[in-house]
Amino acid sequence: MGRFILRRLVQAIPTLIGILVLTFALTRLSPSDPIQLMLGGQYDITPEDRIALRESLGLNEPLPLQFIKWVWAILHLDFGQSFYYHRPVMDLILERVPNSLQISIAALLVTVAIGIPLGVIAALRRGHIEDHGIRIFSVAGHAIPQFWLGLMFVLTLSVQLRWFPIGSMNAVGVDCGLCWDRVWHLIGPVAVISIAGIANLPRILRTEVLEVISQDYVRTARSKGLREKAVIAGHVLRNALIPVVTSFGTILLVFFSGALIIERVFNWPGLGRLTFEAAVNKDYPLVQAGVVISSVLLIFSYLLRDIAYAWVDPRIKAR
Amino acid sequence: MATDAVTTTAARVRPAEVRNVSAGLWSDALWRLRHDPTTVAALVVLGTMVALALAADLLAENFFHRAFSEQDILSNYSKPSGAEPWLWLGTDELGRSQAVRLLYGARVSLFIGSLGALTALVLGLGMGVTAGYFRGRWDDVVVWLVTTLNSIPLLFLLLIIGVLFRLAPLPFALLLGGLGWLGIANYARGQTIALREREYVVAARTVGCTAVRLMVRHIVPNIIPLMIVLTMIEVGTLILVESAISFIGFGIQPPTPSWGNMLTNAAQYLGKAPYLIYPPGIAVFVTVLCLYLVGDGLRDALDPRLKSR
Amino acid sequence: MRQHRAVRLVIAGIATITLIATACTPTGQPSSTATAAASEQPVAGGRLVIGATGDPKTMQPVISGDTTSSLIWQQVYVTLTRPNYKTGQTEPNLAEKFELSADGLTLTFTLRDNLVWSNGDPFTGEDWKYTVEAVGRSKKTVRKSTYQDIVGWKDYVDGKTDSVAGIAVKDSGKVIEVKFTKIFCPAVAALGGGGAGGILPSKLFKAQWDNKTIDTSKNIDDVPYNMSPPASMGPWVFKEFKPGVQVTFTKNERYFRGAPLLDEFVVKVYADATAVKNALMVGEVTQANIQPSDNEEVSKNEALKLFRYKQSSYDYIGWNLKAAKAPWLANVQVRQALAYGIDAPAIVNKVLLGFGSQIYAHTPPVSWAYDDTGFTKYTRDVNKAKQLLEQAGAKMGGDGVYRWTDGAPMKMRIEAAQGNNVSETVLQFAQEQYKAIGIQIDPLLESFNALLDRTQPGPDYEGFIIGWSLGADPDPYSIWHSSQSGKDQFNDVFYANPTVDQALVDNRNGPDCSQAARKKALHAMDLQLNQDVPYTFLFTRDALRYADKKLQGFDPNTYAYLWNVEKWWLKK
Repeated sequence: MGRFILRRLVQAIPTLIGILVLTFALTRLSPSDPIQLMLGGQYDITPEDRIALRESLGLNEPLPLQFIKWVWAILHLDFGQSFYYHRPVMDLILERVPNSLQISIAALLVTVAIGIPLGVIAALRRGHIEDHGIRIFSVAGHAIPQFWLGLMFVLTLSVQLRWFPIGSMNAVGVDCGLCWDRVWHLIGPVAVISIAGIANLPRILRTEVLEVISQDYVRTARSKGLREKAVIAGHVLRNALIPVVTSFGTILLVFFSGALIIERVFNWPGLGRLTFEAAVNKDYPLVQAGVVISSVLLIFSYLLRDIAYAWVDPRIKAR
Repeated sequence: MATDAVTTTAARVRPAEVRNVSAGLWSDALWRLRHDPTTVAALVVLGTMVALALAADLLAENFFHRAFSEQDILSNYSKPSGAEPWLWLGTDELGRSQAVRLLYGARVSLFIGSLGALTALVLGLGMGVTAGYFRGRWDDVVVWLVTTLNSIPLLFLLLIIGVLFRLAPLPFALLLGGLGWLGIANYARGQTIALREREYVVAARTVGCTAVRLMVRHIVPNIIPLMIVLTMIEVGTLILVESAISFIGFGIQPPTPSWGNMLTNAAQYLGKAPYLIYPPGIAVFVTVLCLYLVGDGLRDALDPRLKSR
Repeated sequence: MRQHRAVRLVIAGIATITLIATACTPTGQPSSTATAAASEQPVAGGRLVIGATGDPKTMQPVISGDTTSSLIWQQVYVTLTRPNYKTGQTEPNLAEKFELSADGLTLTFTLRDNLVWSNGDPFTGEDWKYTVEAVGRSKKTVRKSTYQDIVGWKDYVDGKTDSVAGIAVKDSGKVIEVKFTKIFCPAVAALGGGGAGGILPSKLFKAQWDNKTIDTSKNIDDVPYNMSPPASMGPWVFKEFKPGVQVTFTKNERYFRGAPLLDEFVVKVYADATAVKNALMVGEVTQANIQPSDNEEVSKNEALKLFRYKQSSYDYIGWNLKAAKAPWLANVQVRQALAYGIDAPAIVNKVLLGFGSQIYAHTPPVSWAYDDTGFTKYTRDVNKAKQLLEQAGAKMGGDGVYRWTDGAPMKMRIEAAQGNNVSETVLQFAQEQYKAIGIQIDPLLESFNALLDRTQPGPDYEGFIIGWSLGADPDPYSIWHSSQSGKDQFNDVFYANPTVDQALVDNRNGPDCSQAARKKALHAMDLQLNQDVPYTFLFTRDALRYADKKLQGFDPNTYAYLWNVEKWWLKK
């Protein structure tokens, strides 16, 4: 397993490089002058000061050299100073990442906890009303715009009905992490974000379960006298889960992407909202860092998924 | 034709029905489609939507008597009423007819979705098939490109692009296509890798078919049916993406209406004019839903073995 | 205006107005309305929550430039004088007496007795001098012009001396004497109040930046205390800052007007104005200033009470007279056409929903200097506008867009800030309205910071929609004087008119500093501005401040809403 992980890590490096190149190229394509943006709040800068600043920031050097220097800095976790906050970007990001992770992890748990049973039910009750209902829910869940769902949630459930908070991580004055208040505040964003995953999972699982159930080894297990539940859990699920774990890739992508908007709608101080506000403020170092860090997190999640995949299906490790 | 040999197996299904057994893939599919009520309904809805969107100019001038950007601030915040067609869905804070804007929004969203998906199809096919066929260096490059782009959350990428450039619908559609070809490419590549070892392909190669001819005449037509399905689904996905990025202000800029930026407005005026938020949201939902249903239906029709029944 | 350092403000939705830089300097006389209202006994305890749209960038006044930052430091760093919350008249704050000498060249502040910081250090005039000198050496401040007439100012700024000669702290810190090189009519308000910003605790800050130096490379701009105020003279003491979440303060027991009844003051960060409004509706936020479009919904909430009052601010469309891409803006007839081309009353009625009024010149109606005799009250007149354009030399093109004398189509950009739905609406409204008079507008929405940045005096912008938030003592010198179009200054329309220049100097440097004389000068300025319309003056908005009915003692008005925050209490 260790070698497998190492191999996957090495495979991730070209991807990382690709992301860095892309992000760097995009921001250098910007028509605005980075110096102008950086000095936004300063008023006593002479033309000589500007030239000196350009020099010191290395903006006159050839692009490839700038790129290498930038990557080198990133490897030391230095993303520069935020144009807007005048604080190191890494500090700002580290403050927010744990908040985003809370939503993603909770959403994944919810997706698995609800999606898998739904998929199994749909398979076992094939053709019946539960199956149809779940299918309809799946397609509908896919088609609904996530941000609209979020808006509706806040509007109806939070503002009008007051069942849930309108946003934020905790109530004002409450400062706890692992507590009911935090869970209550998580419900909104997690519910909205997981809909996409919950819509996806049952369909895949259903197909897989149906295929597996007709396999010989399942019949053998049943004829051995194993209880249905054991059959399902032990044999059917174990095999059906393989493609499910694969689908985690898409689900995670949706989670991370969706976080951008959902964090805004629910006032959640996460990486998505930070990056968005940085974009609005044309705070390039922060936007760059936001894109790179969220990609790194995503790659890391893919890695975890692959490990889960390898664990579920030992044949994968051999590849 | 080599293609027929491969596909008539698919045609030998459901012998109970009275049907012309020797029909080709497409007429088979059509037959199945016609007997699939959900898909037909979805197609009808989509067709109507497209027709309305295309006729937007005509309708705006002759039926609604309002342009989409035409303001009438003295009638702003009007609730929906049956009084006149342009008031059917009410007006926004500038007195613009929501009904007319919804129509034009349909045009913009459908245009971006379709053109984007088409671009994605072309790119995906091109990259996927060539990668799967040639393998080696080129395949590595394509796989690297796909993995890289797959690792950046799409909205983040669009955000950073939106910060740097203000895009009109056409370039925006091309951009979305340029980022949305990954799934199609993956599938195309997988299929190509499998197909290139089939006897008829090997045979064609031995006979001296050039690579291009092989790909175009033998491989592509085999995967096209399911590519089309993926493309339809892609249209839906791109419409969702466009509305999301326009909603946060980094996509289509007002006054050009897109369902996404109509919702930005609506969200701000939720207290004063709550009726603004439903039409664009429902429009997106219905459109994407129909696209998915049609996609699903098409897939079932083209290859019933894949049907989940 | 000087005293509150005219901050460029987009008169925005909730939070932005909530955090207006004009006001928010705490208290005045102890004997105020609180006692009259209370037939019940005030109870101590409870929390006050205010919404902000964005993290503060800094927590000290020298380099502060945005409203959230101002809201934060105003709780801990206060001023020598402050404007009366209703009338705007300068009142004692930390200084109990302030006197301008007969020749107008010496200003003396006498501090109250026994002033102490929240940590026990005594407050003296040295603290004020330190803050002023911090401004002198700062590279990020906009407050320098407040002090430019003080003797020895320039020498200190240039590093020739290690202290400003014209400021003398006497009587073991109780008296501050400031000498000017010329008469400065708004001196008291400007130096005592907003122009200076809050006063820093010099003893603590000196460890991070020493003002007694000629080294101009060092300054206060990046010291750690900027993000964590170490001591307070205000009603609250800084407790902590959770980025993206909130800033928390606890009560300052040593506040010179008496310790607050409430325990805690929180500034909570929200994504935008709508989110703050939602927070107000569910009770997460105690009070907020809301957008007109939200009034219908909020007014139905029985737990909230409305406080509506006029504000000392206005919104306008600025036209860059030196725009490279729009040379016609230099022509006064074109600008008058633009004024006749937009239906400002419709904006007031339909966008502001009646919560405001149209304005025609610079001085806001709520000011003592307001006088609208002789103003042209522009209303929409498409024909007149077209006439004016044609008189100026424009010719109608085949596509409905006028061609200027050089043949170029009259097409230009107007930019506005996001996050403020009134400005956004006005932008789109303007686009359509000007289309009808043959001028094509390209609208651009951007962040407030980007807007401020782009409209630094230069040739690269044409029209922009923004607002001014003005102090009680009118001194629009830095906005309208022809010398103020330098790189970091505020006359970003490059307006230059000798009559106005003279009026501005008369208002600012006298020698007659009486209200009557100044009012006359300002009226002369307003008349000229009304005719020359370098701005299309649009409207002044009323404040729509809603507060939880349980909040007692709350009495907001034009120039301040937090002035008596130590007297507020929450009914159970």
